[in-house]
Amino acid sequence: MGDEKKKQGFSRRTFLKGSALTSALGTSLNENEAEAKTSTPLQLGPNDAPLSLTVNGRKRKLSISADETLVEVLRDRMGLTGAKVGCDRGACGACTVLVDGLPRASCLTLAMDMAGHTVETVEAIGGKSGLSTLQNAFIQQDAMQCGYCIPGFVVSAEALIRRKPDATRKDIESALSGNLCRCGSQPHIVEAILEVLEESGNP
Amino acid sequence: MSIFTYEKATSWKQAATRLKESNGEVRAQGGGIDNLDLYKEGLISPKSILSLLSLRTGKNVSVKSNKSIKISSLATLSEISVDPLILNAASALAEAAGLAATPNIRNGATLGGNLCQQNRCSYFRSHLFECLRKGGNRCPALEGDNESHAIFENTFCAAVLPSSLAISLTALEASAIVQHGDGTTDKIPVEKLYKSAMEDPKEHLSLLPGDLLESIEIDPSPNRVISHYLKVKPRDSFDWPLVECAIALHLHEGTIKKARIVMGGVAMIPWRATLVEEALREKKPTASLAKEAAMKAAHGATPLAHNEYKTHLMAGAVERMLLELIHREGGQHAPR
Amino acid sequence: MKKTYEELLGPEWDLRPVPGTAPAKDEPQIWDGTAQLKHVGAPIPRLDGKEKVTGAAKYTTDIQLEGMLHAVVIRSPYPAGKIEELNLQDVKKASGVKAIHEIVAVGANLRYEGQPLVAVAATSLSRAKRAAALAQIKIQPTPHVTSVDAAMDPNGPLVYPSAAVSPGKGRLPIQGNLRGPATGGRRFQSEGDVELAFKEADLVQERYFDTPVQTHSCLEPHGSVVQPLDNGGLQIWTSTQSISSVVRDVARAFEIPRSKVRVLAHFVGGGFGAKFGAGQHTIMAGHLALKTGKPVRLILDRREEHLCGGNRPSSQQQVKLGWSKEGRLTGLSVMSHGTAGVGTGAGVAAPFHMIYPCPHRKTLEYDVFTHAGAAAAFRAPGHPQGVFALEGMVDLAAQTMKLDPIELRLLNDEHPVRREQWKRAMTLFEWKEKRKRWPTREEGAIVRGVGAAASVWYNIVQNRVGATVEVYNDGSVRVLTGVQDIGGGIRTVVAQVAADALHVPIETVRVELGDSLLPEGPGSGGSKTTASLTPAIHSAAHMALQKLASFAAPVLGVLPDDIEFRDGFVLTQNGSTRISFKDLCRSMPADRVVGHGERKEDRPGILNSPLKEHIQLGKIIAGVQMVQVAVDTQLGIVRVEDVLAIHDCGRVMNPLQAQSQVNGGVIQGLSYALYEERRLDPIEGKMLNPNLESYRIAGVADLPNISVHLTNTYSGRSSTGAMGLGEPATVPTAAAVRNAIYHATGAFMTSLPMTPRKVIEALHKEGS
Repeated sequence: MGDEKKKQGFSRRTFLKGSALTSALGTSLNENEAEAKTSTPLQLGPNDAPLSLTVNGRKRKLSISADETLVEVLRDRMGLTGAKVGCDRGACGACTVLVDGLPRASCLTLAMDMAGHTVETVEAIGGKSGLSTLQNAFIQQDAMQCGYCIPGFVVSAEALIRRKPDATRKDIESALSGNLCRCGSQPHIVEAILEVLEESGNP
Repeated sequence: MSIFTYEKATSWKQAATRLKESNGEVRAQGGGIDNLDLYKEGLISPKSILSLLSLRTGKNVSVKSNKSIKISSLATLSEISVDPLILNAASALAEAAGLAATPNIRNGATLGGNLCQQNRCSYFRSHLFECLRKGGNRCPALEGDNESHAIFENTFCAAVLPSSLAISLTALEASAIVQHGDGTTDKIPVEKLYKSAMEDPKEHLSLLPGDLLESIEIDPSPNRVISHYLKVKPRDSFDWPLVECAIALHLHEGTIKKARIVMGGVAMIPWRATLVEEALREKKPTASLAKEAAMKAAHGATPLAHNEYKTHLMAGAVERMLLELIHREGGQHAPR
Repeated sequence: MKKTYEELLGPEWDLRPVPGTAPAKDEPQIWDGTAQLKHVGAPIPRLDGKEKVTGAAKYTTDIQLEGMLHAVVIRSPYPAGKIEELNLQDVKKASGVKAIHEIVAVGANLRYEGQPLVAVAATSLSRAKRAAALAQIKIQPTPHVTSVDAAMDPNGPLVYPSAAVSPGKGRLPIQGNLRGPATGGRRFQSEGDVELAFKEADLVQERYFDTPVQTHSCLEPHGSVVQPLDNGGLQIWTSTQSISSVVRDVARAFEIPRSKVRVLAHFVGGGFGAKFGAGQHTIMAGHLALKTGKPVRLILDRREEHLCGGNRPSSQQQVKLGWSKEGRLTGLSVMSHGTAGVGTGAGVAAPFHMIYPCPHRKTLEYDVFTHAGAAAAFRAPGHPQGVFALEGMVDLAAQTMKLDPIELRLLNDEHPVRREQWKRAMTLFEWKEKRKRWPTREEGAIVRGVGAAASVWYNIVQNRVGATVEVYNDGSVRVLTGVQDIGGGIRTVVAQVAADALHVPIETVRVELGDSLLPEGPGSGGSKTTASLTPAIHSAAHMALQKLASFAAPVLGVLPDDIEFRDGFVLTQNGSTRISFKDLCRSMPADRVVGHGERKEDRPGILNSPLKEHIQLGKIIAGVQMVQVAVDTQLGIVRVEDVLAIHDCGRVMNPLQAQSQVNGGVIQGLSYALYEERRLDPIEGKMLNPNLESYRIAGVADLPNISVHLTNTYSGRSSTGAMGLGEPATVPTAAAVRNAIYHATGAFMTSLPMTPRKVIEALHKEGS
């Protein structure tokens, strides 16, 4: 869940001459500094190791296992269950989140690779008002049925609209080509996105 | 407790040395797309993952002093698909990158990872089937379901090369800069990165333990080069190709001086349709030439029980693409 | 794209109740064609839209409880085998493991890849997986059959050793792996003399069709979180389309009273028929929960979904139709074999009996057992398969008789609604022009064509479902129903009905659903949810209204019968006095009034209507679809460009949601037509594509423009007049796509899916 596990130090295999490693998780540890002093680069694990990243606008310091994927960290450690596991192989898009503004399959992303990066999940898309223009359009156009795939679609679509305000229907189809929906809401989803693009195009 | 530890590379040299010394226990990783898939299927169990992402610089694509285009192997497929230098001089590569996988995957997948990824044969990808590439002694696709499999050099293993970018890069006669585990580097044609299933049914990469692809270079041509990539697949949505094709035509005053016609989805190596290449050489591109030349695309094919249709797709793809290039040329050569 | 539906049937289809058929006093007035409704029939956005687009909606996979354990299942890797060793010592000792549950024992005969053997619960999913890998289970693979043809070999291996232990025993003969034939079903029977009919027919045509096994591929897999309760009962969150079926199965499996089983399903990520009953996963999780005293989460992964989450059976149909030279269907025979794996359900015959009247009909349906995961009901079971064959034979006959395919249909189809739908379709789709214009060689390798097919389904109703409507003393309304919303939007429809029944704004209505503590709702199957539940809501609201009227009467100084509720106000009939609904509620003696309602039997309906035949045809729901395709004759790729879908669902409750339903049916239909098939290795029998990459379903870029039109037929059978829509919408699509390809290329395809390989091979055979 959301708790961070009890902080543990690095594995024995990490050599860090000259740095005081008595405290837990090296929040003050400068990895580059440590590296320059050693011949062996930093090895994280097999015990839980630190991961610093920004999630939904907040800097987070977590202690995770090196083999965790980003979707596991978001859902199981941070309670952000918007991103779903639909296939766990990057084919269905239900796990889509934004990393540095770009949609990624969080089930095929090692959480450790996210150190220093910015992650945005569906929970943050609405911002302070709770619902973005796109999310409102989804609701008005009935761009959903069972809803399981919708967080992934919302994230992919939101990224497209931010990146390409003049996107065409073909651009939409391409941007959503990694998101699967079994209920058949794709037509309404595309209409919702087109509506938002059209309206934002008008001054 | 993590199954594997996680390391960050400090330099290409360090990474290559580390890999070589680890004797296969450490696995290099770009975006991790293929590694994670293989790991989740139980096909690999590395002791440590060596992430190369720390070696990414701000510049993915540059032009060298000799006018070669240099592309970092850590460039993502998305970055390659929109890079203006690549779009201009190597459009087949940009097209292949832009059509690979899904946008989500393209944003994380690297060029190096794409070139080195393992094949997608269903028998290979399931730990429940033995196969030559997993240490077994037979290829279950040969007598089994081989509808998506190879039609050339498929006597021992019927899997096909999974990398669309390798197809385009072969057509563009690109080279790979390889960092060896002993500290040396080499420049190897991308075409030579792969071994056919006839040559080696167990290992498709000609790289040695510790070898890392550092970058790709596309050398300039004395002629004007136009290129195109086509992916033939059942859905317009994400799909692996049934067949794919990359074509590069070297033109001088409207004549084809050299043609590279490379097909994917039909063998474990980028398949050069050499008879088509020959048929186009020193000719002016026309629709009837395209049709005639395309008929030679599948020459020498040895289809299995379920994939003869691919011979038709090969001819169709080549003809379609040549017509497209002719059409584009027509547009470019509009009278002033 | 149409966002509002059009009423395709004019005022002559609006109906009035026949005198003497008025409802009983405690039943509400029927909403017939004259009813003035504000919310019902309006395109009201889904009430749960906000939760779904923000990720706040919690599905079973999102439930996270304190101390929750995670379970994985060790499954058989073989289609058939026998357990020789089962050593779980290392599993039990592994780090984090809290309990294991053995489902099979040494000596057990295993019948399908994916069959569960042992469930392991541990403190984390990764620990459970690692522990499971330590199991020492030795299975001797035994001879298996996974294809229908191999399974029908009388000398081949048997899936079940005897008929006595086969599923579906007793009802039909079982010989080896063959069960059947069934010559009829609940709604139809073979009759007449087909041999004579064929002898006398002017045209007889015969073809063989085959369709693959299709997996449901819901985005949310099957799964449950089971929590043991202090009273010895169980609380279960589960991804289900029938909460009551889970209660029933769990109570039976664990021998506890149903009153001690609570099942919750607030959000469900798709079902399509696969999610009835508790399922093995819930029972396994239950055993682990009871052993550990902790909540246990067991979710299937995608591979398990494909292997044992249910599927649509395959079909192999030998079909023969006989016609008179006047174009009347005079005889038909169908022999179908299909595999539902280790289960039953491979029939296809219903459409042959239910669409076109035909005096001589012989249908023989067989189930063929194979060593593969059992089928489960899948959106209109049997119908897409049967219609794929039947509607193809009709086009074949039309071609031979040189008749337009719709004209031939109109010579035979007597369903008044469908006849009307065909007429409208021809105009809306420019059918005749397109049939003439195409195919043409102008566009090079791409040729276009159009095709059509009929849909048939049934107005299925589940009676005795209940609902409660509470009106609070602040004027707000709460509707309580134990139904589950699997995406059809019943949550919103329920609020619309309550709002109109109470004459209040829908903003004041809250819906509580998805909990077995609430009045039992219908299962979401057979497309019956709306038809079954909305009358109960209507009745419950009506009762609440009567209670309100009874204490409003003295307040207003009139008799209860003189009170009218309208637009948020409570008035006397002569309009002399009125107060707002809210003010009335404020003066109620308790904190709320409660009305409870149950769905009663359908009424005889409105007998003086043109729909008389339609009602007497066994409550058949009609629909038609027309499809335009572009076939790349060089590369074998088929693109569906345009679809027109006209369907009847009685009263359209919410046109936004109805349109989504039809889109969904069409998309699943075209995906079935072009992409989907479960592929098994022919030698080892194991599944080759248990994933969403090589098991292909239609994506955003594959979709045509879809125009949805809904007919409104007010039958007066229930107080709301709603009928089903989900299944009808997927029945004809694949047939229509094939018929369009036939028009475009002359190649008549008889095998699904119509992949590039098959199209290329058909075109080369056709020589065109």
